[in-house]
Amino acid sequence: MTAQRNVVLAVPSFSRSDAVCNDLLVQREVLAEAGYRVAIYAEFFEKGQAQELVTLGMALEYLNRPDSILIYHHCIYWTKLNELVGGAKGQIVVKYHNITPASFFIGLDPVSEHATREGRKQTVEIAKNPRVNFFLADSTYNASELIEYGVSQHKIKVIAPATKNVFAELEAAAEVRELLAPDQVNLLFVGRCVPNKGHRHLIETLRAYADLYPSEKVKLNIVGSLIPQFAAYYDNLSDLIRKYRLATSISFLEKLPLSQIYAYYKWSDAFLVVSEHEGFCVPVIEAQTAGLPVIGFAATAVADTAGPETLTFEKLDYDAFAVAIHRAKHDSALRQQLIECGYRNAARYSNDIMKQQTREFLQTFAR
Amino acid sequence: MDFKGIKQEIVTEARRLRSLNPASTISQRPANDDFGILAPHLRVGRQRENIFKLIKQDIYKLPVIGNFLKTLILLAKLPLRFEQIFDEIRYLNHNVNKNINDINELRDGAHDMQTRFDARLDHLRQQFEHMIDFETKVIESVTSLRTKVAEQILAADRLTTQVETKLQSGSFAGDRSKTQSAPNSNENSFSADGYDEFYLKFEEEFRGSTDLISERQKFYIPFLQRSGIDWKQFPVLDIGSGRGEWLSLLQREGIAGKGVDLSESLAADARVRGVEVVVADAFDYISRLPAESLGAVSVFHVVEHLPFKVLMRLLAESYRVLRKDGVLILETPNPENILVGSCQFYTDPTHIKPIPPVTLQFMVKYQQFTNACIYRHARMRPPSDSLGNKDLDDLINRAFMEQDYAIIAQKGTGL
Repeated sequence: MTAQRNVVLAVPSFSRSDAVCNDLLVQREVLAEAGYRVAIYAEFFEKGQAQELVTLGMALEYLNRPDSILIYHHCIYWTKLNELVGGAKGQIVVKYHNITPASFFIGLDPVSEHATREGRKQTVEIAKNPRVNFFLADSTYNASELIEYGVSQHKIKVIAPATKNVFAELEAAAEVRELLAPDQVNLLFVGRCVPNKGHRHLIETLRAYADLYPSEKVKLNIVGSLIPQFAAYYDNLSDLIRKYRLATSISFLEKLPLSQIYAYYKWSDAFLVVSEHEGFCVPVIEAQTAGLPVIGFAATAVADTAGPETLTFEKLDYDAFAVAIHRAKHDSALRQQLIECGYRNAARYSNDIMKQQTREFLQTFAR
Repeated sequence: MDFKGIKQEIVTEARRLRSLNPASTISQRPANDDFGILAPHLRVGRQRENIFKLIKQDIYKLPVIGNFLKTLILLAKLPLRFEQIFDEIRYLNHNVNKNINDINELRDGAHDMQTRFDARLDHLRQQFEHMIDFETKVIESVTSLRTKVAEQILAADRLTTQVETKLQSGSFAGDRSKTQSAPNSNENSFSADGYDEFYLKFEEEFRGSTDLISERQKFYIPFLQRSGIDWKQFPVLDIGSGRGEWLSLLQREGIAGKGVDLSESLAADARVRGVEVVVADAFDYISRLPAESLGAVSVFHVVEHLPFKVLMRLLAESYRVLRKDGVLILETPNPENILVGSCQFYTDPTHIKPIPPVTLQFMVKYQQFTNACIYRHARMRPPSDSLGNKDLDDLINRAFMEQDYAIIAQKGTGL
């Protein structure tokens, strides 16, 4: 009788609505199917999630075997990491989800600034730690960062974060259709309202559209929670919106029910992404899955995620974004092409493929 | 689709449009926008929190009232604290339960292993007992077989003695008969004095002319030819070659062969026909031949001279010296013919007893030869017209049917 191998999936904070946790939960599923004894350890968690997790003591007990595996999901600075790595007797794998550079938070939120600065320092430490046997990266962009920090290329495998297709069995909320007037250009962006997401560029793009196509009505809907710490950031955005007289052209919808988010994806004209820093950008895949053309700035991991057959530009060119939006709305052949290419690209990130890649990784790594 | 080209087109178009609208159109847009502030509710909460913090800090500094308020606030926060503590307890409780489950799983696993171990031990014990039983049975069977074999050896010895006695007590006891020209076991070895001449003349009188015999023996040639054997490398050995009709026929057909006969006179007669015959005891001769060195062994009218044990040994030796696919030909009088079985067989005083075709066929098969077939030939008279009575017809046929038969067999695959 062969004893089950222990695996601890560790993440600083566990929240079911978080992309990192989705990835971790799918990993747990694959590992459990493969016969591993899996435990999740998180220092912080939402109320009611305790039953999913083990304590630090238990996690260390799991790791106190030479055939154990620690898979750490690195996405922010974490003081417990050293304790876990120190107690791990077996192999250590780090899945790197990337950390937003601290510069985005300077003058806005000292806590985020500290956490990200220390987090990125910790990334460098992890990259240099000989105890870490292997790295998984969400994107080639993340992998390139690791290589820059000194990790050997053969120790890295790119596996995109597993995403639950939350819209698969949903009906799009019909009431949203009425809000998306057919005589206007309806743009969508989905993501938390945090400084690295490039909200200023979204507003600038709107302004460019209004400049270049003054006779057309345009509306940008931004779905994503607003965070109290970033009030100053929001004030800056508000000022800009007022300055450009775009108040009727932009809506911050905050958190919405999934059926409504799905409706925005389904019935908008384009998904506008101008983020300055992304480790993967799950909403791009969600948009492509829902048949929404993706347009915007191909910065950091966005270019990889969106794929080559899309209207993402390497330069931050608001006028070009505006013209691309216009063509995606009015050139039906191009629009159809963008939708089909989007479907094809999104299929690369299907949950089954991610699971298969994880299985293959386990087979080669955990021999 | 060339996305690179499209993007280039878009950039060019953007430049063109911008050049047409160099100034921003902001001023043309409605100025009554009142966007307000983003997330005011979140700010209210924070402002409220900040004010509350300030008040708390100041009030707490007040003597007595400050302490009283502090206590009051702590008391007010108690339910929240309790809830947090209960959450922690639930979390710890959950982990404790998880540990208990793990321990139970381990205990169940250990119990399961113990059960399986016991079951395996029982199974092994049963197998061991079964083996002991089997061994006892094998020992009993071997003992019983030994007894039976010993009995059969005794019976065979008795039979041999009887046959020998019968042979020795016959009018031609010690005759240089066909028995001697045939392969001879040591116990059946006779002296060679004086009977060669008798048997040569006897053959001339009763066997039939060499031409007739040779004509009859042509029947066997195709069997040899079909075997595809290289006769130069694997010749034919004719045991009891007698006057050498068969060897002569083989020579004419281009098939290499050699005879062995104990009779000097018969061998000399054969050599006159230009064939090679060795004068020797056929058993001594064949037993010295290397294994798988012959293409065929032919034995014409010899087996009826041999006691059972001797005949079986001859067949076994023939099998040994034949190469793969080698051919065995045994010809003997056919006792199915009632005239042969009841009278003509006994014309030759050295014949022991007639052998029914199926018996000889069985003996050949028993010595591992394959495709052992019976071929009857030398019919006395062609079949006559039916007398209208099946039994009578059958009886008449039995009187005039084939006088001889042959068993033709092979070592290995079929002819």
